[in-house]
Amino acid sequence: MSSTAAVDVRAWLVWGGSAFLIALMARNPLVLLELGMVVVIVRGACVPPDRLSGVGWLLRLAPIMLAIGVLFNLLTVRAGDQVLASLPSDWPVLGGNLTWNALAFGVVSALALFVLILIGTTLGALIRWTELARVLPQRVAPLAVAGSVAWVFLPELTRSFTDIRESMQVRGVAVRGPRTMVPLIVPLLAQGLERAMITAEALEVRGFGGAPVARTGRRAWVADVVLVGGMVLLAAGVYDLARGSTRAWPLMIGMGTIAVALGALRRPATSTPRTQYRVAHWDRRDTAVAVSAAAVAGVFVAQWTTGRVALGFDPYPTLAWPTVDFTMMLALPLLAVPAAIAAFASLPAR
Amino acid sequence: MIVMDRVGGCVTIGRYLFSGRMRGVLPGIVASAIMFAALMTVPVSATSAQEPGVAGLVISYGNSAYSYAVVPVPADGERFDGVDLLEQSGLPVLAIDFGGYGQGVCKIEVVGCDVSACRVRLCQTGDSASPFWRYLLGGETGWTMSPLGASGSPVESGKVYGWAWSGGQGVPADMPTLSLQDVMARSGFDSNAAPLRPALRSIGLSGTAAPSESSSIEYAGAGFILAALGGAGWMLVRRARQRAGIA
Repeated sequence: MSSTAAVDVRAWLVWGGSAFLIALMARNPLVLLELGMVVVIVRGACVPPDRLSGVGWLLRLAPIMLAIGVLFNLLTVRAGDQVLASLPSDWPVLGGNLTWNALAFGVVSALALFVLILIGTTLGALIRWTELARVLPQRVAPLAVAGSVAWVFLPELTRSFTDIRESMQVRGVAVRGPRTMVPLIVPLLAQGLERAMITAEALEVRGFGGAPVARTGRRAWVADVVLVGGMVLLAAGVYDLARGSTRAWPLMIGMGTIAVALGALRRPATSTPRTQYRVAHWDRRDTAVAVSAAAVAGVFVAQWTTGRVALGFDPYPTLAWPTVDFTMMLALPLLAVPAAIAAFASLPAR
Repeated sequence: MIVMDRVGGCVTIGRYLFSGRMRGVLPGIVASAIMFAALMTVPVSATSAQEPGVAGLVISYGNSAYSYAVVPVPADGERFDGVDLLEQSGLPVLAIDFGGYGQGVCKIEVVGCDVSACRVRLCQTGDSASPFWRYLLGGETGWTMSPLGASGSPVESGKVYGWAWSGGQGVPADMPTLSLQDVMARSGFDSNAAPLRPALRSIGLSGTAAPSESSSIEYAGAGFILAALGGAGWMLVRRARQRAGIA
């Protein structure tokens, strides 16, 4: 069971993408607060108990982020109509007015950062990387395998190092300084080679690195053309966004993303056959999570493209309460659909 | 140094500073400190110690929108730079501090960008033609770019200064060349008033910097939504945990 809600990893990716998008776009404190509440609800209801690490470190991090954001903003932005205090103007760098406007902006920036970290840690706890590797397209499967082998390298090396050092200490050999490291490095190297052989054999048994099978016909290369075209569009869109000269970048990035997704999902012209012991099934729960998350993202993107001021919060030069937008506030709870599924769904767990 | 030598770990520092290796560098450090202290105490400009007067300000927002202002300049040697002139004009201004580089203007009235974008490249995107607020010095022959920036150059009485929201190179073409008398006439400045008061007039600006606030009923509605979400969320988490067998 991947989580208490047993939602497919692809649906979680859509959920996480939507939550990240909203947190990056919105600066309205009411929206950020509501988004944070939704993420906390999903975290509490859906993260399995073995992965539900404490949020204490996150709560300890919050005041630090708040202090940094507020102090930096207070001391660098002197604009605003609400003066909190004044430092002598002959103080270098620090002198001048400290305003409530700057404090409000610092608090909102810290809140946005905190919500982003909350979303990231929640998504990390909800997704199992083995499941993620399983649903990756055929094109990136070799990369995923290489990545997972590399990912476990460091923990395995650390474990071997600790084991060998303890064995040496039991036999009365103390490891003190570089000179005594020589008897430690040799068995470490031997164990590393042995582990590499075992991993290679395991990959060989599973058919990794076998002779690729060539596909024939027109559709075999169409996917390649679509993929390359999509990547070109995506790069052009990102360049246009960075340059900021035209408004064509949303279209280019959107079309490029769709083309890359379509091209990546199609099997390449030559590929190694891939066997899966556990095939991921997409059911009604996954559809509900993905559709609701995409709908929320759609509402916010529509608000952003129409230039609605309620998405942002600008306390300069006049400090005012944030604008209330009921469309956004009523759409956001849809992101809590995974929590409702975990609480009420009668479908059997995967 | 004697006091420092009495403080634990500072003994080593004191010995090191007076050692043969550092003795050559020490006079330089002391001289730098004296120069810094002198710079902090000396008035910024000798020209500021003159009789009371006014300075003119012309602001071009693009799209044929302008603001004209006349601001009294303090004559008691008090530091008064281009950003002070802009702030004293009565226009809503957003300027942020860039440490040793001085201040950067992000927004005047409703034209400009927010703090986040301003911190990156002073409102500019990667395109060199994208606009930002540039500071100009007026004169009989027309506008020139300010070599030191607004917070680095003192304002002189009787002169005209300008701000233009534009990109590209050089002085924007739509910046009108005006004398102080022209700016006084356009801003509606009363030169007979005592004491002198700033005057400001804007032409062609659409919208104001006043934010749109929601009503108290809307805030109550937002509070209700947050409270309902909190209550429903607590119930969902509790039920989900019960189903999963978590205490």
